[in-house]
Amino acid sequence: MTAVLSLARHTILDALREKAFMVVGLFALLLLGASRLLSPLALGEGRRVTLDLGLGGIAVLGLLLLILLGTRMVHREIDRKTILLLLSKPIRREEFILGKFLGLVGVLSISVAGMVLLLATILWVSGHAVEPTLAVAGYYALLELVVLSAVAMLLTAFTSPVLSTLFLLGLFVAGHLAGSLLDLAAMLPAGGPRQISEAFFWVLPRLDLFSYTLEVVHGVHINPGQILTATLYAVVYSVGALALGALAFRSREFS
Amino acid sequence: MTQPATHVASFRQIAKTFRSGLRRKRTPVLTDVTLKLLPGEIFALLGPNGAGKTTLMKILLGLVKPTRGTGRVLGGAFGSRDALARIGYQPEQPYLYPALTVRETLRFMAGLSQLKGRRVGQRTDAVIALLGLEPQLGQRIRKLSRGWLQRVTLASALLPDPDLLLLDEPLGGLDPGARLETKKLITQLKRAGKTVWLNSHILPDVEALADRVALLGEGRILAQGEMESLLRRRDARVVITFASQAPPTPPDSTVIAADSGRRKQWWVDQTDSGRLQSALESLFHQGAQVLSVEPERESLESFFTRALDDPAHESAQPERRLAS
Repeated sequence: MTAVLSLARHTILDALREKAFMVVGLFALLLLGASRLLSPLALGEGRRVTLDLGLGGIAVLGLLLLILLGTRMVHREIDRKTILLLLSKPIRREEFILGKFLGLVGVLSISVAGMVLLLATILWVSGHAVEPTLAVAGYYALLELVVLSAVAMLLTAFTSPVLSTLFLLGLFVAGHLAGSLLDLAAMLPAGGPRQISEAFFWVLPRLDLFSYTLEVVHGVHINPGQILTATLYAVVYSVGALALGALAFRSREFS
Repeated sequence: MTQPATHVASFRQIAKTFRSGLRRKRTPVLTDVTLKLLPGEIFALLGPNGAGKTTLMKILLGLVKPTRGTGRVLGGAFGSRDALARIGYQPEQPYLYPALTVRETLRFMAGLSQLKGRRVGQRTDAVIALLGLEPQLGQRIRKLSRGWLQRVTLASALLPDPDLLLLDEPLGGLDPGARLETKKLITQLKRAGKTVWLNSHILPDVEALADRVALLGEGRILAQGEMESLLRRRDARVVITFASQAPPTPPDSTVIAADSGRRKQWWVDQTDSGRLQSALESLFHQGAQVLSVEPERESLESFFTRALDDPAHESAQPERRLAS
């Protein structure tokens, strides 16, 4: 476990010094600033506009950060050959994948927490109410990024960064539509197309489970059971994706 | 009572073929390598670029899987966690994280080396002192010179206090002072009972350091043995070193004399043992003081060139082939 924690800590430290991370931080400031500027034009709907822009920004920037860091994470170690130094130490390949994943989740947690705090500050400064549902929305955004991080680790274990990025973007879109796949299957004739639709429902990450923006914007309180279900789903799906990633990584050679 | 280990690592009939590209083009690097590392020795693996020296090290570390063959390291399988905990590896290039400081790098590597509690501080302090890293601890890796980078990677390799140290080209790119320091350190590690395997192109340094050498070429071991026996030429002459006031006259024309002022030497053809005896008697009668009588020794560089030029001949030498 020491090695896993060392890897995670190092991944966070390395990412914090990445210029890409700074750019995303700056972009977050600009976007949240824009929401602050636009809300006075929204005729009494300032809180709604700020929340809409802010939560949308958190989701997009989180994904951007994940793509910038996550899809290149393993490849960077291979490209700069630091992987030779790491894997010559007494760590298992699975521990390497887990350490990198935890580090990535750490970076994303810091980012999401920072952005939520920034959004809350903007709301408070604008005289709008800051409700605990905002924290839940941040938590949901993070859960979505955790699932996508696990998928990114799986992809980077056997594809190039470009392909990983394309797959991840595709999965992001498909994942938000995944909840409708069973409804779609019900409409399809029995046989191949229906089975394919059902198979996609089970394989694709159910990112629609983590959409909470509307509830926050409209002040709808969420059932704690739903939070627990979403958390369990994120954990189970991530463990599965990481296990497959570790399996793919185990057979890799580093010449 | 347990028997002491006869070897630290062994490779048995190892072959490795890399496959690349869409058509999975085959590139054989190693065809049949059988090799052993003995406890407490400095072992040097020589060979031209691309011979597979680094690949062999990587096989031992589990970074590359052999296509064929088996082997053990420190009682475990290649790349096993227990074995890796007792191995220190310095790669050919200092592959480090440019944004980290030396202190952060060492702390990170200590964590990966499974060091815990007080031992982290103890080992880190020990390698910092051993390699003189104190003035650079706060410096970022990207700002260090090649010599310092080599020291940091060596420090990382030494952190777990390894029993087996793998050094891939440890003297490459170093200035003479740093090379001397590294050589001293390697000798010091051997004295501390460590087994050192080094891959190097700097043959005079290898000759000064290594106890045993193996030459890798054409995917196999062309020759191996103790340095002294490997460099002793069976078809060569005996060198008599002596001191005398005036240069003595050689007993016959086959004796070659050399006089470099303080050191006077005769090269005597050893195919006829009578010649050596008459040369020694001649020196005695002419009042010379014999200092040493030794078989002529070939330089490692000359051996390396000759063995690669005529691999079939070297492989045919029974005492130069590997012991099974």
